[in-house]
Amino acid sequence: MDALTRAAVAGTSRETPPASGLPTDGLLGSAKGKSLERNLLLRAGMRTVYRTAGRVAESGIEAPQSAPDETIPACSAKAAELLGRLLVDQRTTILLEALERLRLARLRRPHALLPGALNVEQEELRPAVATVLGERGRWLARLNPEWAWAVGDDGDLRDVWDEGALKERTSVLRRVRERDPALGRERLSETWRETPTGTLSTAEAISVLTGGLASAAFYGDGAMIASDVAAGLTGTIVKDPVQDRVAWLEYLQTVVRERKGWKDLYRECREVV
Amino acid sequence: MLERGERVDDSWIVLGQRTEEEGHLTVRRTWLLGEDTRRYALVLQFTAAGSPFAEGFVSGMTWRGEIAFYPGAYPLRAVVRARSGDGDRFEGLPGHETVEACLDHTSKATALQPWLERLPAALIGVVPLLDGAPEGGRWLIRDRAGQALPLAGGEHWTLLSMSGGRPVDLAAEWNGEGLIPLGVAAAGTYRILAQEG
Repeated sequence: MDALTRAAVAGTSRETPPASGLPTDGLLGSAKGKSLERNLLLRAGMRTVYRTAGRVAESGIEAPQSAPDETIPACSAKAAELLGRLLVDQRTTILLEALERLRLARLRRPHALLPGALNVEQEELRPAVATVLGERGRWLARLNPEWAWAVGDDGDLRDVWDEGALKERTSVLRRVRERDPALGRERLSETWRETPTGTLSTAEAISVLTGGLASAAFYGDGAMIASDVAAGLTGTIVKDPVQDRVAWLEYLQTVVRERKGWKDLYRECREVV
Repeated sequence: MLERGERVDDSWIVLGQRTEEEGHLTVRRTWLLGEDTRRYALVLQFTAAGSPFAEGFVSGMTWRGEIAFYPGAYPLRAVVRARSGDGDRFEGLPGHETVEACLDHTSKATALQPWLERLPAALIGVVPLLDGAPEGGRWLIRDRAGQALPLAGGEHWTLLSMSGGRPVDLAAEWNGEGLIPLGVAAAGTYRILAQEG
């Protein structure tokens, strides 16, 4: 506590307000005819103004690292507003679709609205939100530990990729592919080698097979050949004509083509796709 | 009183507004900046809670008109005498180019009129930043010369997001300790900044 504050707290009868030692002391003039209290208040006032008016800038603050340039344009103000309202209302299903459409249109959220998007609390929305943040969003997320999920840290992504459900893994794969297509491809072929049936549920696999058998019996001699399976297989896997087709082609090229005795299946599938 | 007040004709930029409840009264401060004169002005409005303000201002817009300052050691408060419409979006904030120039303005104003609690301040080409983690970190703006001033009034994520670590133009209230952002001009758009956190 400085002397002036001490005098104010203790009372002027116990402590005489000292001279402040500031250049403003001269302004007070003679203490004659002024009570101690008035003297103290004048000094306090002068000191406050002296400090406020004498404020200096800080130096030695490092310039921050700036965000990388955006690679895709921002969505329209209207779309952004709509999305913002859905976020506030927590309309999860519609939001997921809206975010997906934004991503397919290769658009991102405008910069001013990124904090709102990053504050989304529903975890199931986060992978979808992460795809529309743009470079600025990832830059911003790095500055706040609460937004770590949006940083695109490969450590976190790896965990979700290894342990997540199919939906989560798909969204992680999309993000990895956006940033590093080669890595995405590597991950994809790696997992397909481990779990070759990973993309089809048992029910779907059975349906593909029975479809193939029926086609073999009807058009052929009853022995199922590659052309009987190819159409059913491709139809089951390729649900999104853009995304799934690319993934399926990649799988065909990296896995099916390399596999012994699968040449005919590879050829037929390529034909269908 | 207004008969004696100085009258100034200019293109007035509406920098931003703050609305506060004071008991039964709603008080609105609207900050203006003259494009040619570079004079700041404050339009203070009061209403009884609930009723609308007599005169509307749109932040980020500029209009041509004459205002009259209340006489004082540092005339700041003013009333609008005549204006033409809500005008256009402004082009370029005629603000201070350095932190030093901004402090010069606040120091002079404080020296002339020590009772002002808030002063307007428009700065151009400053980079907002968060020094440290959000928890316990400090929000600052930094000019091209490396001089910095603290930001006040909570967190400033929207401002930070809009700048992306690059220079922006900022309109703010200076409370003696820090700048409380009113609006920011970045990449050709002006955006009003509400207080966060």
